[in-house]
Amino acid sequence: MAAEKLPNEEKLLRGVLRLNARIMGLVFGIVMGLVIFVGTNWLLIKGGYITPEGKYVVGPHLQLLSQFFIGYKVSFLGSIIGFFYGFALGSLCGSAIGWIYNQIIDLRRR
Amino acid sequence: MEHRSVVIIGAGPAGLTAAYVLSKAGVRSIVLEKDQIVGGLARTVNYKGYYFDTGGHRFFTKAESVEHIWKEVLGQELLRRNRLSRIYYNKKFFYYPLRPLNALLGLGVWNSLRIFFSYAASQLFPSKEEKTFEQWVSNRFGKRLFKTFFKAYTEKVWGISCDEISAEWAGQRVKGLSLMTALRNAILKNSNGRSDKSNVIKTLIDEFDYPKLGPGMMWKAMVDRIQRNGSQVCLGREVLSIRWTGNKVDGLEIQNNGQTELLHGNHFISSMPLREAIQKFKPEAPPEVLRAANDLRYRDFLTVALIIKRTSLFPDTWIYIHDPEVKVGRIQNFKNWSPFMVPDPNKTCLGLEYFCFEGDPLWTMPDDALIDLAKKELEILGLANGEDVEDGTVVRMPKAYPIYDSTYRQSLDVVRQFLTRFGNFQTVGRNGMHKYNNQDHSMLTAMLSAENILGANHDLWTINVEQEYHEEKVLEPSDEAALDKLLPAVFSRMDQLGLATAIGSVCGLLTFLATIWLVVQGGAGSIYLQLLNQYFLGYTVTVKGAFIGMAYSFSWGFLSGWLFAYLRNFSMAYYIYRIKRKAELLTFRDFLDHF
Repeated sequence: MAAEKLPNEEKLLRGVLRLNARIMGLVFGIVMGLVIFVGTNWLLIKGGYITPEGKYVVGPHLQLLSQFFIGYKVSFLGSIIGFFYGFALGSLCGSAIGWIYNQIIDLRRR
Repeated sequence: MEHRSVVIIGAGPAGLTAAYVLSKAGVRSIVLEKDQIVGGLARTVNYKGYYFDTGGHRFFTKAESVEHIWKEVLGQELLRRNRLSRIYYNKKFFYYPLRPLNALLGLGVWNSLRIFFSYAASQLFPSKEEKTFEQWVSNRFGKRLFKTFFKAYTEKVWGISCDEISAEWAGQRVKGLSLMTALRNAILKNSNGRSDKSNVIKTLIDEFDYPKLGPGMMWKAMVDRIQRNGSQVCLGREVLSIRWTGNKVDGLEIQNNGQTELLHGNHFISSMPLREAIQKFKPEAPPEVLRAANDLRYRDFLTVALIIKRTSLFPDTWIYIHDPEVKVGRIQNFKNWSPFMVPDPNKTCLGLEYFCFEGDPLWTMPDDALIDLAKKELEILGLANGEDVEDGTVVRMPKAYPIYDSTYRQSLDVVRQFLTRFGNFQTVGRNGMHKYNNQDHSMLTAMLSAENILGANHDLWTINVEQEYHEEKVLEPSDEAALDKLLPAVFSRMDQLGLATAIGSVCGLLTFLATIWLVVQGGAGSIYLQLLNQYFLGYTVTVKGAFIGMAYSFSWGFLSGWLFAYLRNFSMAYYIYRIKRKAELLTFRDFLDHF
């Protein structure tokens, strides 16, 4: 019984963890998408303020995301658009991290 | 001169099991037993209708093949018994295995605190050397707990100081502890909850099977079956010499009713004490082998069985006596092992076990004096009145325990090396291998030796390498394989350089693209990204700045990735260490039971 387990135990002690790039992408995507979605809606619930010019402003700093995410606004619709942008960017970043990590492991093993 | 296919020396659990397995396979054998009773160290003595077991042998095992034999031989005659045992220490009783609240109340708050601090000290400043039993246990439980629950009893059993006992003896219990098993159990326990865990422990420690009339009943039934299958079990046959030439054992010179006979065979299985076996080799074994064999030592013990005119004395199956005031080491209450062992329900039969060396003052003490000593000690312990003792007898059991002293390993290796040359001579059982095997492990070595004769190629010395991990969960083989495949994928080390580079690259690229994007757009809103230069000195929203930002981001990402991987590996390693350590400690839950 002990002899059968040795290879797995060896793997555990000497092996190196591999990342699943797809799962990494999915997780990063969901997390990033949700951060933008929740962050935007949180600002909407909290409410904005009126400037001396009489303009009602909500989340001016988060609004800056629109420089990169075309179409994004601090509004409910914007939070959905932001979710998709966040998801896409997160997926790319997560997959890239997983892919690069695995490539480096393979390189170092050679 | 006779010729037999297989000759087996010793009719203890190992010798009889070998004969039983062979007889089932159609191979006839002859079993030679020096004594007039079968069972070896696990025999049952019948004194005036009172049955008593020499040592207290529970029938519980994780080896399915052994359990199968027990059930096959005795079937309904095996009783399922609840176990209750306590430690008598400092005039108090402690449940064993220890129960925290009971131990706390028994030891008192002050003593418990001292034990806790001593444990903490052992964890923070462990002894660097782990050569002796004392160092080994103290490093894991603290010096104070060692002195309270291990030292006195261990020294009573072995007759030598704990700092002379090899750490290997304690380490043997955890030597084969599989990390995968420990992890698997930890994960399953968390998912299954406490009730399941309790059941597993209960099955393996708190309950056991026991033949109605003691272990002897098992061996007698086995003898019947062996003989029905055409093999022979001969009592009163002492092996005088083991004849060998080259790499083969040719035969045995045996004594039978004062007559010397020569018995030839094709295969030989010996369960006689290894030292004795080597001494009997003719021509003599090489001097260095003989010297090594002579260095192997044994501890002996005797049981004083007392019949007491009391219906019941205490609820325990046995009690460990740690108190140094008395010589008795363990007291068995045979009625609690099986009510059928005591013929008169108004009486109780106790077995007071004394650990000694053959020939020492205790061993040579006359039986009457031993019975008086036992009565006196029962009174000192407050367990019974001497006046209630109606009758008693003494049974001496030589070579009950092979001693793991500081030199035994070296000596055993020399003997093993010598024995490997013989293709037709195998040694089995506790004394046959000078190995601290339990009854089930002894039987397992015998079963494998029989299979070797039938054509297999087992290494008998690996039995009992796998420790007794009582909390081990039993899984379907497919689930176990799936889990074993999954665990390395979860707990393996994360490559720090790999993760650092990956996160660094992605961060660098993001900063670069974000900067370039704003540069392409004409710089509108670039003042906000420009704020990065508060941290990235020299950074601007320009093409040059994009490269500078990329370098900065790569560096910070690299550092964060490396740190994350390092902390993750550290916490995983710590988790695995804790799991393994806990599993090791759990194997000590029933440590005293293995003496």
